[in-house]
Amino acid sequence: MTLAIANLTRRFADAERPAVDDVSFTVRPGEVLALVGASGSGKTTTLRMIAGYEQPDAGRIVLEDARAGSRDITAEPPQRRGFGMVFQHYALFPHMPVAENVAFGLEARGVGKRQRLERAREALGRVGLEDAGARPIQSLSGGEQQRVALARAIIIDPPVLLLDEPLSNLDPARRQETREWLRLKLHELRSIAILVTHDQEDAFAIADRMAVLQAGKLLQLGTPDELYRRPTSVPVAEFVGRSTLVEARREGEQACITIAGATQHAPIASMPPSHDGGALRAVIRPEMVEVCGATPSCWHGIVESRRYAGSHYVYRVAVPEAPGSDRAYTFEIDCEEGDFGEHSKVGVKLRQKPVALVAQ
Amino acid sequence: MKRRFVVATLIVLLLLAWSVVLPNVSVIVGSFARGLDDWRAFVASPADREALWSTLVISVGSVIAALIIGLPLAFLLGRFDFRGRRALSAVATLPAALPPLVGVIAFLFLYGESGVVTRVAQRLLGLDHAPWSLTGLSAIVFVHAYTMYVYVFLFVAAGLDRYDTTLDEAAAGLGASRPRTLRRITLPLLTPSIAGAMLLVFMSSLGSFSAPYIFGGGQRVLATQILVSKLNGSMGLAYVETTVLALAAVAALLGLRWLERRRRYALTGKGKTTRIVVRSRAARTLAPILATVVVTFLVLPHAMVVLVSFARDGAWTTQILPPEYTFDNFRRLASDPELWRPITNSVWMSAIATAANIVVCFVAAYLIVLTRAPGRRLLQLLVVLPWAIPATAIALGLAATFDVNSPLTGRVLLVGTFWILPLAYFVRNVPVLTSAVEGSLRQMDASLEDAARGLGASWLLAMRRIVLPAARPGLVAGTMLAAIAAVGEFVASVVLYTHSNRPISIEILAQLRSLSFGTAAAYSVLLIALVLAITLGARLAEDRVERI
Repeated sequence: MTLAIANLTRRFADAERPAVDDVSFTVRPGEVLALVGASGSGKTTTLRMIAGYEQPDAGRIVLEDARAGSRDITAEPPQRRGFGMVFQHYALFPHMPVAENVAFGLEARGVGKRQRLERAREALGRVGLEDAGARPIQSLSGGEQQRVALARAIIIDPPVLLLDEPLSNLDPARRQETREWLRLKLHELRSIAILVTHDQEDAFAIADRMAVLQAGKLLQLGTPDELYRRPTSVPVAEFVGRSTLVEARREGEQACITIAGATQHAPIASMPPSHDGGALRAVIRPEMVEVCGATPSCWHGIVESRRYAGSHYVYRVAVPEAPGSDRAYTFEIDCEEGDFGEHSKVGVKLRQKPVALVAQ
Repeated sequence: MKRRFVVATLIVLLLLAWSVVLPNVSVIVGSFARGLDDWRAFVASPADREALWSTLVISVGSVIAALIIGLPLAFLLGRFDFRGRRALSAVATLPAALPPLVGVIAFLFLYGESGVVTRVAQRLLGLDHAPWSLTGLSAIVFVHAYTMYVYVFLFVAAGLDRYDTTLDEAAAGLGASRPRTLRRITLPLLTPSIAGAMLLVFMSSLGSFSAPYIFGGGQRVLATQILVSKLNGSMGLAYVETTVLALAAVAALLGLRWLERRRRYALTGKGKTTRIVVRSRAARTLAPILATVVVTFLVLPHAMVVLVSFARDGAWTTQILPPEYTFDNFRRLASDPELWRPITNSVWMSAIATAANIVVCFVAAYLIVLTRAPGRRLLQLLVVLPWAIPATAIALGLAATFDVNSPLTGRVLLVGTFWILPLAYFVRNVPVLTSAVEGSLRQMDASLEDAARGLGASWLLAMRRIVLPAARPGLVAGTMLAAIAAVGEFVASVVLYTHSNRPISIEILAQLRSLSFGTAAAYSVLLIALVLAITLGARLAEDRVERI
């Protein structure tokens, strides 16, 4: 089963720009896709349109099945789509105990009481809560509520599972743990799963591919690795991972990056898709540079701060754009050793790892 | 425990014991004054049995009718967006702004035997008699439905406002149809709101007096039966009837409170409310038309009263609309001191009663919410008691208690004096003002007062700068409701008034009796104007609160 989204557009009354603007993508069978972006990027609206809670102004949503053929669900109400949804605040029915909540989808399908409670127990077992059936919703912790919401969504065997900010309501300790758990569960299900998150680490940890949205537009879709190593635009480079963007030019297969007269070279990982010869920037990640003693061939800067992160040190080094300039590039640099103190003068050197170039 | 709180609690408790408890005790004691004779007479009297039965039928019928109108309207306005929604929501609560007696009169002008709508229908159908008569049980329920659906509408609208619509979305996503979602999710979660509204409608219908009194058409209900017994001099029987009415009210209160509590859930997560935009073509054309019809129906009574207030007394006989219009009605009211008197009476009596309410209810709410004064639980019970007891019963209790001077038993001669009516208004409005202030104070963080005291503020300064501002929204709203209720009060007044302190409502009734429809309507218009003025005053006060 494949889910194809084509030219999806939604404009809310009295809004300046569309909330979702001509978004197209395809989710492959069994794939876990994350829609990421800042608030207002249109990711939740996209999810709600896929679920059927919002009607698109234009565009189509099609389920393609090798055997059953393709089914245009754009105009179908949520009741008919049969998708599972886990809401941000879970939306558990407060007047029903856990088992009834989980069994509700079966109740709506006319399954008899005994059978549906049995299957609810089974679904609760899959999320590790087999004995919670009789408990009132109010007695559950945040993490448990989320598991119940997931059990409720998967009991109807949805071809597509939708999750709206699944980890945003959990405290940091639970969050790490749940992230891992959710990744395993979603892949175990083998149905399409689409989750919305504003946290790129969640997306990295859970999703097979990520779609980055900004101001209603889809900027880039790819695996976390692709987005990190080969971003095609400034917003994607800034949103995914830590980076410093520095002016650069292309010389054959090499990127030339000059700061305050000092030029360094690095192989090119990727070029912007439709490059018209305009100005370029190099996306420099913390692991692509190292801190060294100031030599003429490297960039010169001052350590603003140094913190210890367990396996390594994280330096923040300010490199002035020109000698004596107030404006400076700030590099975050991961180093194994913490040889240089704060305020010391250092050099910043490229490690010859491939850098992505993006349009200015 | 601080001594001043104990003293304050004692004073308020004594005051309420005197004005609220004592009258009820007098009634119950009075019903046994001749042993069980009066109770036997009550049970044996076919008129009383009929009255009890029809009171219950009217109350249940009114609850059902109010639900039928109020529920769909609340859902329509709370959940859907369509053309005409703003106009509709602007007038949806209009019937509540009509003082009870005025609403009844407006219905008489519109749907009574010689009412405008009745005559139009008669003319259109070519009948030689009115197509319906506005008497009996159905007429009473009809009027109640119009005035009381507002309770259902307001309660359910407020419930929907707090309702998390993602719950409905979740149900839909799991495959539940709209009706199933409504039945299994939405309505169960709105039970507290619905039960609260049902309770209010039931209690109001139980004690309703104006509608059965004006067009009961020989239909007996307990509230009017009490007055009949009193006028006949059978005080014992009147006391029995009052006790029965009060018992029915308390039973209803306990029953519906139980339902309300049982179904109260803390909603998990914070919700959001979305309105469904009506998109289907049929619904889009139908919605504004339907909205117009409903708006017209809601505005018509008000418009009718205004129209008739300009009609020349005695000129309107068989025509559809009054044939002659004049300012005379208003001119006469303004120039004849005897005719102006009810207006000054109503204004003064409601002002005195409301002022007393403000002081007593604020202190009571403060003690209940912000202190641990002993006796505050008893206080909490006493302040809602008048709400559970129909107005006729309250009035009769006051009449029974304050008709002699016996200071040792707390009884003073007030019946026949000016003061009995303000006292009645005061008692009736204790619940509304106290609960409004309580609501505001509960929203205030109790540690604020402590924080202010900790910063060195005196008790008085903390009161003035922290507690009073926090209480103000409730105080303003409660004062408004109390003043509106007092200025148009009819039910207790009709039991207790004398000629010299008669309020507007009684004068309207007298004018109606002498068939001076124009004058009655002119009084009604002035009463509506007073209500509007009070509302505007409260709005201004609220605005000032917001700016602070």
